[in-house]
Amino acid sequence: MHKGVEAKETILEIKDLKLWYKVYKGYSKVLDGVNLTVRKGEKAGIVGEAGCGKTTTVKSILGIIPEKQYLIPKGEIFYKGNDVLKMSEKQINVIRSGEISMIYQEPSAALNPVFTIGQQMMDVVRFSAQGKGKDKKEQQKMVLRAIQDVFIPDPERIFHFYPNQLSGGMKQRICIAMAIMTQRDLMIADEPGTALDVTIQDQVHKTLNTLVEKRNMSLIMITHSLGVARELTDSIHVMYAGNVVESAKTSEMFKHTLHPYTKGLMEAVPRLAGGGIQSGIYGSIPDYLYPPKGCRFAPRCPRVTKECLERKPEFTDVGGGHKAACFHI
Amino acid sequence: MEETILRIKNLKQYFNIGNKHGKTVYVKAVDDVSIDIKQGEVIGLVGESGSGKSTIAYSVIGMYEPTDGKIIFNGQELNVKGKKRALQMKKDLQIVFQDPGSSLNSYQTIKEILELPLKVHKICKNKGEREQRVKELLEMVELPENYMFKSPGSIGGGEKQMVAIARALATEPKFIILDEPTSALDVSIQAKIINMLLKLRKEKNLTYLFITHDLSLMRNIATKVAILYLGKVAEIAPAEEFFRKPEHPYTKMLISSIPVISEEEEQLKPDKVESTGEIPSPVNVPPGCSFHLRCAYRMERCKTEDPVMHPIDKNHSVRCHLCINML
Repeated sequence: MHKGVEAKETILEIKDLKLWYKVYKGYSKVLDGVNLTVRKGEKAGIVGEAGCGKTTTVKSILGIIPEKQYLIPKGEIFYKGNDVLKMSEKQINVIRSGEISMIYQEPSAALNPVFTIGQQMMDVVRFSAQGKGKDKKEQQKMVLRAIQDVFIPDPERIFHFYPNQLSGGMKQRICIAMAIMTQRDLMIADEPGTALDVTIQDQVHKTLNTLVEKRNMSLIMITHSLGVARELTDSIHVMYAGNVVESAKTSEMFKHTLHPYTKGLMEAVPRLAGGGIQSGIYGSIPDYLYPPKGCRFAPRCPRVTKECLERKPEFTDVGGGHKAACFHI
Repeated sequence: MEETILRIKNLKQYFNIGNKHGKTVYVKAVDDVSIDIKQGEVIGLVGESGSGKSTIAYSVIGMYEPTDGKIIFNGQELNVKGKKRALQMKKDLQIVFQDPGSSLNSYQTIKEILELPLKVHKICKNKGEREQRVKELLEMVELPENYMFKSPGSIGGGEKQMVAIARALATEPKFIILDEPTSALDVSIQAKIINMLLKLRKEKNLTYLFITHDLSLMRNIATKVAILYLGKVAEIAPAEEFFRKPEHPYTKMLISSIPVISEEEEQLKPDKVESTGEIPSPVNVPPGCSFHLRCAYRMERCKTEDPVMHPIDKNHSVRCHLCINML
């Protein structure tokens, strides 16, 4: 067992979270029991394909899904010991403004095109726990320092720019700057590099990594790329169709892959070493309106048995903190 | 294998984007690109966004009229001014687009989509024959027959791309352009589509021009790789050699930026070249070598003089002052 991380206190714990979206035909049962633990100073990666509920999971932590659209039939989200789901709007706002920050996938959609970078960042400072009540000059200083922190030269000039005057990589850096402007304990990054080119992605990830480490923050990194997760995270949680199917320390995950889905995913990644591409995984993600009764991966699984189709496997510890939800391991 | 099927010769594609101070401003999307493609090859065009990879594809397929240069397919020039392309030429060249969601008409059934090229090229005589052919095409891409009556909206992204591939195959082409066919899809589905494309290539003796930004994908399917940077080819080499000893500093930077999933692959990366800077706007291409602003090895000469393509091996060419100096 890895002691350095194990010993530290838990900052976020999601327990058996189920979330259903209300749609015309009924309930789209997107999250089906998500279990996730993030410790202080840990960099956790959530890996999964499109539509597996990665983004929904992190959005529910901050409570930013419009209330009318969903229902949580079961589950708890503990942030520093308190259940976020039971909090009032006022209590959640304290967390949003001073505890957790989030970076979105598409930087051009996250920034408002009709306000300058400076105006938008000043707003963030004004409503944050640390910036509240300070005078304008000091708030501006905080903004300029944040822009400098993400390695953008000449912050005074950038301050008066509109988002469209910046490149994609720059915009994403500004989003990171907004997220780290005031001291936060947990950062959620939702595919921060996906919309960018590889060389730019590499730079953005490095910036993010440096800042998170320097400020001793915890990080939840959402990505669909196992390669990105391997380079940036301490632990990996693989999601499939609304479940965390396997979670382990990053090095352990790549050494001993247990779940058939994770195995399939790893085999499907094209290797730099060559040697062709494996067959991939047959089929597609289930319809969330009518999800399979047993294991949600069963219809696509190469090792499926009768039991899988009838009963949902328990998410269990197989030793050393390596957890998986499958009958065949 | 030896016969050249497509020859792109000094292709230039400039776009007029308006006037500034009385002068017309051009975006040089493709600037003097030459590539020879032999029968049966899979050519990988790799580059970051704005490097001109899709523009080359669109020029070949005939969506743009080239500003300058020639594209010769099977010994015939493709773009003759004032002349329409012969139907036969269109039949032999097909394209699969990046996003199957927007390249398939959502108001038509799969059958209608697949029948259109058959009608245009008068491949089948009557209705019954056409239906038979549609069934064959679906079988080729391993989709069940009853998909004929579905609409693109009701099937998954991977399946949509399969239909797009089937449509490209409908006219029995010799050459297919694949414009990032899997970048909108998940890896598990990507693997399936790539394997299918490789299988089809073998069966039908096809030649592919494969456009992508994913170098590790390229490693596994291409026989030859060309790296584009700001509309110019930076390096071109057979796939294996390309990854074994990349020469151009940009190639090295690209390869070392790829996130990989095993220690073995980590070893394959060239001595870590730190990725710095951003791709300049193609409107304002820097003077000299267009890469010199981001290059770790830049010399005085790079700031003023644009390097030319130079062979360093039989099939391996690089456009860099440094690499040529070291010969």
